Amino acid sequence: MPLLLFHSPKGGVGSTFLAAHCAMELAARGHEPIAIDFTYQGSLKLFFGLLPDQPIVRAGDDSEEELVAAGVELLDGYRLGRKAAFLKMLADPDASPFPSDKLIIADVAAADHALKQALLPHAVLQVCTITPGPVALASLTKVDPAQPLAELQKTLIVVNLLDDTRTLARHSNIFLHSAFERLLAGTVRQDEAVNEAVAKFETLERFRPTSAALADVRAVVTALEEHCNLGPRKEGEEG
Amino acid sequence: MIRQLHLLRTAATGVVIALLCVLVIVVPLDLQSQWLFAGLTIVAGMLLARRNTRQSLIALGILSLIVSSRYIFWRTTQTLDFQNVPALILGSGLYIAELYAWLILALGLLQTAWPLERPPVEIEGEPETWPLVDVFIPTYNESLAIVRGTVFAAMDMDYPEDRFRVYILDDGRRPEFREFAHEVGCGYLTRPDNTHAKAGNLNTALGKTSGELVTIFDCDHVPTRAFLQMTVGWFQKDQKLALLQTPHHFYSPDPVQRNLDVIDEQPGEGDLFYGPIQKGNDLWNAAFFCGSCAVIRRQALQQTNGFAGETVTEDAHTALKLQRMGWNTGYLGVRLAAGLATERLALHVGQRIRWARGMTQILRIDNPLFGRGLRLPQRLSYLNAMLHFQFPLPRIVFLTSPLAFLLFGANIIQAPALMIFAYALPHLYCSMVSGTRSHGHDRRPFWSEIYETLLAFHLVKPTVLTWFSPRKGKFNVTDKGEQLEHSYFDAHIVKPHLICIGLVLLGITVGAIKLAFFPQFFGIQLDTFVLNTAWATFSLLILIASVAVANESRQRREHVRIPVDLPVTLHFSNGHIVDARTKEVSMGGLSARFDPSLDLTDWGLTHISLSMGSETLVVEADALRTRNQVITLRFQALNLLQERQLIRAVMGRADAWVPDKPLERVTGLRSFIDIVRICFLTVKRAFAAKRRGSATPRVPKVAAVRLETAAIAEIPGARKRVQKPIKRLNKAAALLGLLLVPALLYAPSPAHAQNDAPAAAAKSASGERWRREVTLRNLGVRSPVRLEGVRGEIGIPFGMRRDEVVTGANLTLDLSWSPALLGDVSQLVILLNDEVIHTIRLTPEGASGTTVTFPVDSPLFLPGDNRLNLRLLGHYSRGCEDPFHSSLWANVSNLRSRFQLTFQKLPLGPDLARLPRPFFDPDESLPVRIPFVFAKRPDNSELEAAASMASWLGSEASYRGFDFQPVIGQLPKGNAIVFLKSGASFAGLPLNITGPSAQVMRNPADSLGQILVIMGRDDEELRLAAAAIASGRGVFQGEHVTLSSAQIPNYPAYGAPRWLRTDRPVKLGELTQPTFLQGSGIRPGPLSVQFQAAPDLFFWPRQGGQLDLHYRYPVAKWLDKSASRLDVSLNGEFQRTLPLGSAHWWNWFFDTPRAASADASDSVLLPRYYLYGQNNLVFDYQMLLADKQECRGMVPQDVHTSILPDSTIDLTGAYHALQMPNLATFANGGYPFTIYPDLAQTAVLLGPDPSDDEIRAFLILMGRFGDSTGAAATRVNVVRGEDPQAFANNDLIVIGDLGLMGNEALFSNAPLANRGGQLTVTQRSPIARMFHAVSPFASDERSAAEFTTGVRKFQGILEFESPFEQGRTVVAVLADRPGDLPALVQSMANLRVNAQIQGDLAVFDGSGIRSFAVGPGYWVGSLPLWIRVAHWFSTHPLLLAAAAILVALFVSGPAYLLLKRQAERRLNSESEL
Repeated sequence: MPLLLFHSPKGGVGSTFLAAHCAMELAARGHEPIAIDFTYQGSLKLFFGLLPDQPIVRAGDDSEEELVAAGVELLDGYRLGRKAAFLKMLADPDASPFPSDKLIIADVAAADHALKQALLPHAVLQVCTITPGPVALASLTKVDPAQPLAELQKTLIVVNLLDDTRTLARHSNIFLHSAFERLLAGTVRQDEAVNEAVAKFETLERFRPTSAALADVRAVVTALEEHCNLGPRKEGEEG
Repeated sequence: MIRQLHLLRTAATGVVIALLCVLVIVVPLDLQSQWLFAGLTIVAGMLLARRNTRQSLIALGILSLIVSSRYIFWRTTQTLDFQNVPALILGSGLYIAELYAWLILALGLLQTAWPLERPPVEIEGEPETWPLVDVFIPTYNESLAIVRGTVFAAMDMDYPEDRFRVYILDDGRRPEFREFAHEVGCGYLTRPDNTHAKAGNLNTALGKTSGELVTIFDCDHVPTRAFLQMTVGWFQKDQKLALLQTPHHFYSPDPVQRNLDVIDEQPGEGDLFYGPIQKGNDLWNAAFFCGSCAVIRRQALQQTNGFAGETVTEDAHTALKLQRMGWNTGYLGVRLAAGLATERLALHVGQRIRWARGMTQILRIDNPLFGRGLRLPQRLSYLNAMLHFQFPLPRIVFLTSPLAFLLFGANIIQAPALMIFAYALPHLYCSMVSGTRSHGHDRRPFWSEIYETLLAFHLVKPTVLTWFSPRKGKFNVTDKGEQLEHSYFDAHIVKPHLICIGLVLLGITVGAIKLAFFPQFFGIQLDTFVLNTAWATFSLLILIASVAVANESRQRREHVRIPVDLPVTLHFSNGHIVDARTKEVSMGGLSARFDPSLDLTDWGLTHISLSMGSETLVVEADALRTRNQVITLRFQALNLLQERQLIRAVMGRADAWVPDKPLERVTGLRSFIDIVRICFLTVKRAFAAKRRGSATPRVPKVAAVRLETAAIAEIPGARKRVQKPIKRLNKAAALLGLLLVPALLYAPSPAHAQNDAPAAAAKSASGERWRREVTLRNLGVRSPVRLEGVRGEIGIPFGMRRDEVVTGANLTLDLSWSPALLGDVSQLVILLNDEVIHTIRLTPEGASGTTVTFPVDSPLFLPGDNRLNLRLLGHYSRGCEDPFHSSLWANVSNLRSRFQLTFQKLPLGPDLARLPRPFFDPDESLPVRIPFVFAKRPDNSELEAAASMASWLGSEASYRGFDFQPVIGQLPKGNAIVFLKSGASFAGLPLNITGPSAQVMRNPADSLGQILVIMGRDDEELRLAAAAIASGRGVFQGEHVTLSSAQIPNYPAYGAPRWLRTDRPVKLGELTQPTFLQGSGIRPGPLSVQFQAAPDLFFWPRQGGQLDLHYRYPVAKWLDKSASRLDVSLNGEFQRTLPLGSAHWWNWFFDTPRAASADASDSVLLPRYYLYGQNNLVFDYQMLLADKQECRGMVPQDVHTSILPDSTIDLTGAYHALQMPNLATFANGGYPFTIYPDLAQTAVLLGPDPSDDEIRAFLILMGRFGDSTGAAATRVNVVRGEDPQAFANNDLIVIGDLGLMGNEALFSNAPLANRGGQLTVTQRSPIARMFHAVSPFASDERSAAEFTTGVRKFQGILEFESPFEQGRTVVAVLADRPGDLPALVQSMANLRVNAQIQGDLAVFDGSGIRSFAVGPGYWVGSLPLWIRVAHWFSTHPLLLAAAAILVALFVSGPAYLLLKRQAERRLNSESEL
């Protein structure tokens, strides 16, 4: 089954936020996603309303019970990502370390370029989150140093943290849309409700179901589904 | 061949449908039938309206056109007969208004038959090659704020940037506009002067630009981005397309929508025009330019020298000119721009004044009906648009028409109210439903009336003035975008409406008062009152609803809010953003609905952002309030870009103005209830405002005050007016009551009537002196004489033979009088030829009955005309008295009062020149009895000759009566007529017959008698001699005349000299002497006119003949004008009462103290049911005294009245047709035999050997025929036994005993059969019975059978269709005993008996006649086929209604195909039909 790789060359743009919410949205649409947090911070779980000290199952460790939050099975993949065996397995393009019947969401830290490169051949899609600002724009050249952005086939860009009241942000967004129309999966606006939900240890869905950011994520997920030919699933249809 | 057959069949069907259509429109129906017709057509209308297909809509339209045409035809032919000048003026006004409405209805049906749904087409080719478009935005004095929006939106249109350019055409030459244009980068054009206003402005711009297409937006019309994309393609597809118009949509409510906001989702006023009407115009290639939101081809404009500047509506006129050049126009019914509606009612009215004036100008200057270049549907479509604006006068007429009746009592539709209902209802209903259906949701039922009423009063002047001077007036610009600080009531603009409301209220009140308290006085009838009040109430509702629009509601917002549903994001200072959807957006702010789970109360709003596809509009904004999940916010200052973006976001979207869902279609009832609701609220508000007093000084109080003054101020005046009549009325009623009693007792009767009594003339021959007794009844006084009042008088005219001299006379009067009369001052004075011959003192002793006989001086008798007058001078009091006191009367018997005359015959020598004297003397009032002498039993020719003589003498003697006794073989005493043929001879008549001749000579058997001998050598000569004498009177001289060269007149059908001609109206002066039409005295008695007419006059569709009456009467103080009258009766049937003095109340103010005479004219219907062969028209003046109080009364002397001799009886235009059998016409006028007055087509069948009585009956019958026609029966054919030729070609009269019924072939159709001496009433087969159900006669077979068998000795008359020839009639006069026959025929002269003879079987039962209708009916006469068909339909109203529906359904099929084909042609840009 497909692997969706969430990685951005620039940190702090909300890649983890997007991975978490895409996973939840995909779960809501009937897919059975497994979200693997490959970062050191392990902040992915926070978006699922979990406490910072809540332990989660390590990837590759079958002894512990599954942790499923908001329909998403959460796995801590930091150690796995460091295992040589895992990396070696990844190096073989025909072998896959992931269960074939699940949809895998992988959140990879910005700095973990090596892991991202190892995972990429197995992914159907890399979701690259950026913010509408000059720094993030500049980082776009680093999405794949080997290839020009416009030629990337497996990459979709999501603009996050857009504040329309800022002229530069707005114009950057317009620029991105006009320049990389094909690569753009959508825009998620900056909404304080996201932060407040995390602070309250609630999912955004529960905290503010009408949140503008949530609405934007849904639009992004629709674009992802279309791109990966996932097709919406209904519950009871799995297998 | 097959094709030809098909064509032929199509043509035949078309002709039949057309004929049916004509029938449905023109055939009049009586009240009940018309109600049936109305009911069925209304039901059909309902059913058609329920089916929601285009074809049923077309059928409904056609049905509505048919019933409306029927109504208009009825109005035209039967309701325009006005009684007086005010009714004529008001009625004509209403009629013209109705004609206008009908014309608009018909044109409207054509126009909206098939609204063309023209789709947008894509522009072809690469964008770089698209047509160059110049966008013109003309402005004159509008604010920049308004123009900016339009310019931004125009520049924002989705079209290649270098293929279009926007220009501001500033006629105001304002620097800030120039600056703005520079700033935003659009063109700015201006000119030094403002000639030809907008048209001039556009033309100047045309000269300075060069684009292929020109698009025009009024400066407030904001286009959507898609405007050019959607429109330009059509100019590529149709190279002859000069103009493509799109709707003017208004995003602000129009005055009606705004001020009547109690109605939800009211469509805008323009929706109808920019919906079905322009789309309908487009079908006929007649969509016209509306000044804005249109694209025009420059090449076409160059041909018309630009835009038309001659009129103030340059737009429509330009389109007309373009079309005259052969260019096409189109209409794209998609809202691609939106503008501001006129804000206030006053401005709205001002704008419409311009339109109305402009359209009227075009109608006058460049009438679309004439001139070159247009096809008929185009002409009609343009004509409709222009005629539409002529609505003001008709609308006002419709609103105020019921006042004519309610206030002034004028009947402006000359028909009974129920009849008007019956005709108008299907017309109103079907046109309402058809209109509602074709207008769909774009106009609610009855709202057109409100819109029109709103404008009508203000548009009268511009339309009417423009009609006369079309080139005057200047262009005025409609202001828009104003604010209204306060709600207020614009009383000024609805002043005429308020006055009108006052008048209507006054009218209803006055009408109700008239009805409730003085119904007789004003002649007001309940049904007419109900009709007019219902109508007035409808007017009232419409007027109040219009007035309600003037209640201008506050409009404080600077920017118009546009209801629009867009996603918007709200940004808050706390970093939250909220998605919401807008409710309304204006250029100054918006309101938006957000999720109910949110509480935004304390969040500080900073911005809103509006996504616009690739761009996002972000505006700083302040929240004004948050309530019910709706946040209302105001934008902070917008910069140019933001403004532009906002306009694009709100107004520029392609679907910005596409309605989410079509408006609800509202039924007539719902709409009506809404209007009533508005009226109720308006009145309530008005009163509430009045109660609030000064709290809100300016608000609707004005309305309340106006309403009050209008309604109340008028009433005191009205009260004053009606008070005066009350008093007078009481007086009049009292007088009427007093006079009515004697008037009822005194039953007037015609002076000249048939004298059927054999008279009390006893000729006792004592030497040469003869004695004779003549009763007053013999002198023509048909009832006892009743004299009344202080000076009652009757004149009795009578004649004296010229061959006699009265040598002595006594007059016996049998009289009684009122015992209250004072004997010493009361007398009855008897005058003969104005000489007093006796005076009888009327003392109380003899009051109960006295017979007075007194001698009369014989020289007072004059040969010829004489007159006996009886004059009552009665007094019951010595002091003052009531001249018409009920105790002032005297009665004189007409039977027991008599003259006893002794007279001497004058020895006048025999002379043919004196004919018909001495055999008949016109001066004598006694019946004529002349024996007809034959040498032996008369053969047929002798009987035919006798018939000539009998009919001649009958016509001479007429009402006096006549009898002709056949005498065989001997000469009687006295006068006689002898028929002599060669071979026969009489003792003492030594005549040598040399040819047809006649001789008058002394009677050898009586020296005082004379005989007229009619001679001939053979049958032919005898007949000729008799015919010549009978028809050539007055031209013979001497004793003997030879008649071999005599010409016998040959009469055409209906040529009877006595029958009133029908080719022109006949003056009464031609029928009788003018002196007979003069009455004298305050009780002049009845004046009568006799006339005869063909009994089969067929007036349908008219009700009968017409009497155009002119009459003259005195006018003075003494005459009670309200109660005095002239009664008109026909044959004893009262017809009409005509007023003496106008019945109108206003005449009370103009009472003249002088005495004068007045002439009045009126028309009286002579109904065909009461028109017989012989007619008696009676005019009875009933003059009542006005001031009838004791001691004051002065009976005016020598009062004269007259019926002017130039009054006419108009029987023109009547056909001859009658449903037979109808014995009444036989008894009354000898019909159908007398159709040919010389009986040229009559055969008389007598028994093989007729007895004297049978011959006598035959001769008397011939006399009756002569009396009826005034011509001699010179061509009658007498037959005996079988004579097939005579049977086949003639109408038959059978006279004789029952044995004649043995001829079964002849009597096969008879209602009676003689079976072995037993009479039986013919029983018909069941099939015949079924047909009988169609016959108008009641079937009374059974009662006839019972009665006939009950009569012991049958004598009676049968009538039936001749078995030998269709349409021929057989009349059989039969009796068991032939001796009864003469009396039977004679009895027809008795009016009472005559009236009893009817149907097809009349049986004499000894005292009177019983009549039955047993046999089948048939038609006699000549009726054009179409009249026959129409008349048949008129008796089958349901079939007529079915025909109307059938025509509608049948025509709708081809019409549907035709329209569909036309629509296809239009959409494919093919050449047209």
